[in-house]
Amino acid sequence: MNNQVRELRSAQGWSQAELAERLDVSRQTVNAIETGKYDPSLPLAFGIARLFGLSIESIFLPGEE
Amino acid sequence: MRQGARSWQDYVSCQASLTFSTGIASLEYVKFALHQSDTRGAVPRKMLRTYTSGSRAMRKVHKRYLREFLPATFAYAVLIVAYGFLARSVDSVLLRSLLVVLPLAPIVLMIRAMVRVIRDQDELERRIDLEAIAIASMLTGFGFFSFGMLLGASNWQGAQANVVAIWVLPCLFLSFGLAKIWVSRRYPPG
Repeated sequence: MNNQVRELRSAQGWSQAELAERLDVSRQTVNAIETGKYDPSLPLAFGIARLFGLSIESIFLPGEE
Repeated sequence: MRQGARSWQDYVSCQASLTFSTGIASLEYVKFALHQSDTRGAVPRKMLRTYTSGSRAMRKVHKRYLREFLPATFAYAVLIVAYGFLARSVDSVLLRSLLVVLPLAPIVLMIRAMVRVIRDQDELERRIDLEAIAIASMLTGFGFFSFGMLLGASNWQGAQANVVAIWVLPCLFLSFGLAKIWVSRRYPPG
């Protein structure tokens, strides 16, 4: 799964640590999501979407199977 | 050497190794938090800064874990050492039994701390911990099973059953720490 988290975070001017604090997760988790090494659960994906004021499908895009 | 004296010495030394391994497991947590923090400087200063400073500080859930787990570990070690010293001078079987089961109280607190940290940390941290627990438990369980089979097959008399049994837990903690470091490598902090 691909995502726009890094671009959205940079647009807000937030560091990974700041985004992690806002989402109440570790910086390691934010980095893993941004690099595509970890796909977040639905509640965390909703949390990310809510934080950026967007829908889940505009942030997370299905990758090649 | 008297058999009684030898058995309590074995008990204390092995339990001390258990406490040491438990310490390694919790230190591993500190290292894990340090790894995420990006702080610079000497390790003790770094640890303190990681624990205390603003947005780069150790997460609350891990601070709480250390606050709960480390005193319980310390209390366990104190009670084990107290057993080692008092067991020889106490004649009452009931009192000796009480001294033996008393360390179970801090163990309950340790279990509570571990369950709370697994439950309350974020989903990736939980995944890493659960994968590490799965690897460590299977490795330790089957490792000791194979070791038992090996002892039976070779008819080797070098290892006493009680000493072998006491080493199970330290091996579990140690393999958990190593497995966690290995699993975490898949998710670098950036």
